[in-house]
Amino acid sequence: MRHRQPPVDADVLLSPDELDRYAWQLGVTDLGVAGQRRLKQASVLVSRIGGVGGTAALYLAAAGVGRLVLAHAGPVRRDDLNRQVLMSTPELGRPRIEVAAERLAALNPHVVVETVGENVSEANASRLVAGCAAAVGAAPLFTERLALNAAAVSAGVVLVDAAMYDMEVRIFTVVPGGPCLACLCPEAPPQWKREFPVLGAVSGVAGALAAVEVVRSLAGAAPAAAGRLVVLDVTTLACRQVEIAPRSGCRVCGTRADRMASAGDTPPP
Amino acid sequence: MTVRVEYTGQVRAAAGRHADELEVDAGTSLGGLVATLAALGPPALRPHLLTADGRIQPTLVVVVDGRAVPGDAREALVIGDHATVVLLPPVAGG
Repeated sequence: MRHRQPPVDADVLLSPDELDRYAWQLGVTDLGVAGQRRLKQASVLVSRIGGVGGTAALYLAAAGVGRLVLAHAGPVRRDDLNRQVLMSTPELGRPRIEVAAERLAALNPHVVVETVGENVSEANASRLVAGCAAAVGAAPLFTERLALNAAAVSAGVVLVDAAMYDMEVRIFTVVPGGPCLACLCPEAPPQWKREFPVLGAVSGVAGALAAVEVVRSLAGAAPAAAGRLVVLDVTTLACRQVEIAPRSGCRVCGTRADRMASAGDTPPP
Repeated sequence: MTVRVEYTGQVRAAAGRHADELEVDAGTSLGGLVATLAALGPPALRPHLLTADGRIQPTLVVVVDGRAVPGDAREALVIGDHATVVLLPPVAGG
């Protein structure tokens, strides 16, 4: 697996306001002023602004990622409010993406927030990841997660796939050259149900961990969950880390010869 | 021999418990173990574990003694005595 340390654009400097705003994090491991400048020049796509994605977006904005692209269709609903910390009761019925953008802009006006009132799909994923250094996959449907995975692998974008179910949090990070989400989950599982038990604090843990992975990756550190499925049971704080090998013949990240062999074609000599 | 099976995600919810300790014959394969779990568990558990034709679900990550077992080796892998098998179904709660 390869983790490239992104170069720092010499023209991207931190203003006095930014130096003050980020003063408490400049001394954090793996960050520093150079890392903070890398955050400022980076773009990150967040797929779905729910309990996980909304929390990730919140902490990415707080940390000073230069540009956030938020992709989500649909309004704020009452049953979102146990976990979607960017939303509040007066905003019921408003497009969720608008509310998220307002909240993040108020938190950190240095962050450019672009909103896309669509969920990620095969039709738009490549366009949405274009120009991004990283992406957070936080959709409640595998079709969206897998579409984002394919686009991220194709574009060489680091993808942090963050999910939860009941009292369990999962993180899996896709980096260039490593196994992708399709190696882990080659197809959308029909037995996955769109509605799932969720406590806000648990989705918050998933979103916060995703933000840490993205921030560290952008700053130049190797993501902790690269090629590794991390499973945290918050009832015991037991944490499993499972190394995931690339799937032979993966239709997304496998070699061209592997993909052709998997499809029954003959690779060229 | 004794095998410990740990459940996660929706498999845990369908099984109704966190883990099982099973007595199985020496030489039992992973495919055979998962089929046994599906047969002994509640009906809701089976589709999480097996495809319609009885193979291990391709989206189920199976970890044996700390190592994920690659897809093409899973059905025939022989389980050892006192092995710990963890079943990790796909999760997309967001």
